[in-house]
Amino acid sequence: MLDDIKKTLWATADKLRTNMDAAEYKHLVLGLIFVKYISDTFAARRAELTSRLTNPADDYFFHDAQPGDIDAELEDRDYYKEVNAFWVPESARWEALRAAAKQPDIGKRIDEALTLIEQENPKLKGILDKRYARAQLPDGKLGELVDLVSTIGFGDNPSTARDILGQVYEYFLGMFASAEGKRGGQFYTPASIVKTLVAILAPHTGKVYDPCCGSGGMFVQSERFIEAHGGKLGNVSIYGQEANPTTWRLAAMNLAIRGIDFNLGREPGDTFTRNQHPDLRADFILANPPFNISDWWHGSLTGDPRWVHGDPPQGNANYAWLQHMLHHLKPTGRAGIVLANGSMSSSQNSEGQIRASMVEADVIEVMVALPGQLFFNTQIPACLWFLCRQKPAERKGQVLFIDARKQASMISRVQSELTDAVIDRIAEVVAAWRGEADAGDYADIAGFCRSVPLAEIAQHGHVLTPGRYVGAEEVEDNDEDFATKMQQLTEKLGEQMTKGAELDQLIRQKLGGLGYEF
Amino acid sequence: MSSELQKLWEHAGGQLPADWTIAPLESFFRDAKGIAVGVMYPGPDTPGGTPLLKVGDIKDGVALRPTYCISAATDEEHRRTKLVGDELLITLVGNPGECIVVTPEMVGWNPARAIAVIRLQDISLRTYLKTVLESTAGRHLIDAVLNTTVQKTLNLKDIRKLPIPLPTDAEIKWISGISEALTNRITLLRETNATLEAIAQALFKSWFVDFDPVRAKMQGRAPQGMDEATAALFPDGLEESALGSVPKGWRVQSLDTIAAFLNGLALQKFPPTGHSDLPIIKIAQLRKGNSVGSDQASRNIKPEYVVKNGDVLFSWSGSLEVEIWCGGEGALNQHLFKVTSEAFPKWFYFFWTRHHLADFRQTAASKATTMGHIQRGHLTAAKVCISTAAVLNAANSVLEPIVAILIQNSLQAQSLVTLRETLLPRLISGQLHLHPDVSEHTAVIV
Repeated sequence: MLDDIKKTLWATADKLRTNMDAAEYKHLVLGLIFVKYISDTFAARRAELTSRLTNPADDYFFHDAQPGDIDAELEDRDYYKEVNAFWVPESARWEALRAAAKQPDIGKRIDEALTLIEQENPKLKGILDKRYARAQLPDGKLGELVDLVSTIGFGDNPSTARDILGQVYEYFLGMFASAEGKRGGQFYTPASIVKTLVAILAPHTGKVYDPCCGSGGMFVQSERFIEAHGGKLGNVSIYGQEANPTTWRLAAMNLAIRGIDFNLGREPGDTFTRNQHPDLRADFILANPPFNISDWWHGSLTGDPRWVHGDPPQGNANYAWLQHMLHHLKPTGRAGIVLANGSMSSSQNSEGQIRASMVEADVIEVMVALPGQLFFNTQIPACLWFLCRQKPAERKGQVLFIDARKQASMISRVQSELTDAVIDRIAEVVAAWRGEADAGDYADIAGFCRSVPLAEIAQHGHVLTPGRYVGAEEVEDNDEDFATKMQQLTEKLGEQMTKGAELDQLIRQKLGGLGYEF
Repeated sequence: MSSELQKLWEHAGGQLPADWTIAPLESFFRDAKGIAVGVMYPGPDTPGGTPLLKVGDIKDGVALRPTYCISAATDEEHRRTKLVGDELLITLVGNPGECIVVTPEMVGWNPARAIAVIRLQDISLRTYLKTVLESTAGRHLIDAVLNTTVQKTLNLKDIRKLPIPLPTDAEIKWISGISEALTNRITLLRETNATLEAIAQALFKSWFVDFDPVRAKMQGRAPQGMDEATAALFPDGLEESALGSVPKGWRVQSLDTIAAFLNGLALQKFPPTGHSDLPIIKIAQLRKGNSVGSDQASRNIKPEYVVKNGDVLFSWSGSLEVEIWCGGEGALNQHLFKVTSEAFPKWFYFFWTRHHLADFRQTAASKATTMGHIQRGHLTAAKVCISTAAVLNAANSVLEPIVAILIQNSLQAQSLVTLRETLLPRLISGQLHLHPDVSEHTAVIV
């Protein structure tokens, strides 16, 4: 049902784009959805308060309210803060914008509304993108877009409407990533990869950190995980950082829309040179850094305390990301990172030594090889690294390797995904290996997973490619013994030879009939 | 109408004897809906579902059992094209115009959308129609109507209009008979080879990999499938080695010490001269088993780079295969090893290389690059077990003739393919004319 709504909305929104670049248009659409969301949330809270303040049976009941008292009470910001709702001034509310949708200056009006909202809510400072007056859309299209966004969740009760808006926001993020193709992946990690990371890490309480959070997909999935496992959203605190200013805004809106409390740093900035959370030690780190960045190095990074296992090469940031995350882990923390396959076997510059040092320090817990074609924007095959500071006692000196390369399902001609069943299977194997309660006993499965001692990894030059360790799948060797097999094969051969002789005879006769005797 | 068709047919190089008629292909259909394309939207691979026949499953006019399956629901949606065993199939892309006469084992499969399913009024005509469409003139006509916007595609409406020359019923029967005999013999030779290879493989694995005879003796049993004299050649105990436990007195060596692995040449340095050039054998040719339509190179290369029938070739990059080549003389391209040995028989190094192929493929697949390959070091790392000379000779007395028959069969199949391609077009274009009163065995060339 909702899927159809999303599809229809997307088709309509995409039509209004005319020939504007998807990367530019994305901010207009998502910004409007966000404003509608906070406006609806605000209105819903206000309506709820009105009924509660006048209900004698409610805690909030206002005794002997004089005319005007209720109105004054409704202006108290604390009522809104306590449910993570933003304060929206009257002239910035969605109804005001919708009423002006047909005005030629609607773009300017939206920008002014955004400015007002930011002034009232310090948390949103610098997050709303005031680009509507400058938008290069043909006349009237922006108004049509406002009308379109007005239809989302319209007529549903406020809490349903909020949920629908949140889902539409997420769906649009994914569709924009797909529309932008090659560049889309910079802000969007496909859901099945995020789900796999979350399922293996199982973040349920404490500090969750993503040092290159893009539009915040890791956090949203973590929230789903917590809810699905009966936890409370309030049990985790979210820390993120993102270098790209527009993506940083998308993330802030994405989190705000879900009522998740977050700290994305004071500003967008480069994780290596302008670390926004230098003292953070997280319980869980999830990240999909951009692969193989070659221009990340800055002189100020020489001798940085993060490079415990060696200075990363200046031409590739993969091992800088790995060590940055390791540095920010609590002693009991765990990290899961998506990286390009090359990271598992590269021995260029210092990467081989850093990897060897990390293996020997016993901080690598699980390695997962992923199928190809999972990403929108790159055909590079990717893998998942899981780091931890303390392995369970019985797993010290071992690494779990999982080869999921053959587990993909194609969702289109060019894109694959991991189904929930496959993700669950991987998570179950990891949980059993860690010896978690109710996870059952762990066993190696040829071609899929194997627990390998560090000594064996050293023999392989510290290469961490799962395919090297998990072996080939058990080939179905039908149990018939050699004698039985030979019996069957020779009978078959006998039949084939007899038939062959008959056919040879027939061909000879046919060709003879044409006058060719031989 | 029929004069239009005749013009088309003759324009394509066919002939139409005076007593023959000609009709469009659609006039043989069972009804107006006698032609349809297969499954439009196959959806995900559903193990245990209905086999989906794709163009890629068709090799030399024979449909191999598909690996991809569709769900019961998808199959139900496309039940119109589910095969019942009396259809003629025509490929629409890839190599458009290839025909398949549906056999009993294909019943219940469903073809993909790149294949047209044709249901005929008279199903005994299937072989004859296939012969016409695959003749030189038929191919020419199909090439002329191909739509080549993205890839060569054949349209149903063009297929309907293809001209089909019709001799007498007796002649049709005779032509179908020889066509079928040749096709069946070619298929059977390939199947026979698969059986022979399985036999040789089983024997090799039992003796040299699993050491069944040695283990039987260790347990005090007589080894299966051999006489006492042969059984006496095997030791009755194992010892530790680099390969794990191996029979006492046998040796363990690297794969690259039992045979030479000669890598091919970058043949663009040897462009064809136009005079007795050689076809270039690349991975694609190795997979097809012949060098039809391949690029050419000059014969002016060192003789060891000339591939001959019976040579063991091993493609070590991209898709890794180990095959005994029977596709005629050719030039060895880079990325292929020609494997030879002074000291060991062909079956011995062929099966040992095959034995390691799964590992080699895995090594290649775990490379970060898109084109996985192995290196010489991997040949050194791959270990083989070498028995005593006496056991080797005993195995050789069985396996060498089998390999010889394998090669012989492949060559016979090639000759029959050539014969079929030479003879049949002449039969259906009337160039090789059978008497009107043709009997089972006589024909006269006019």
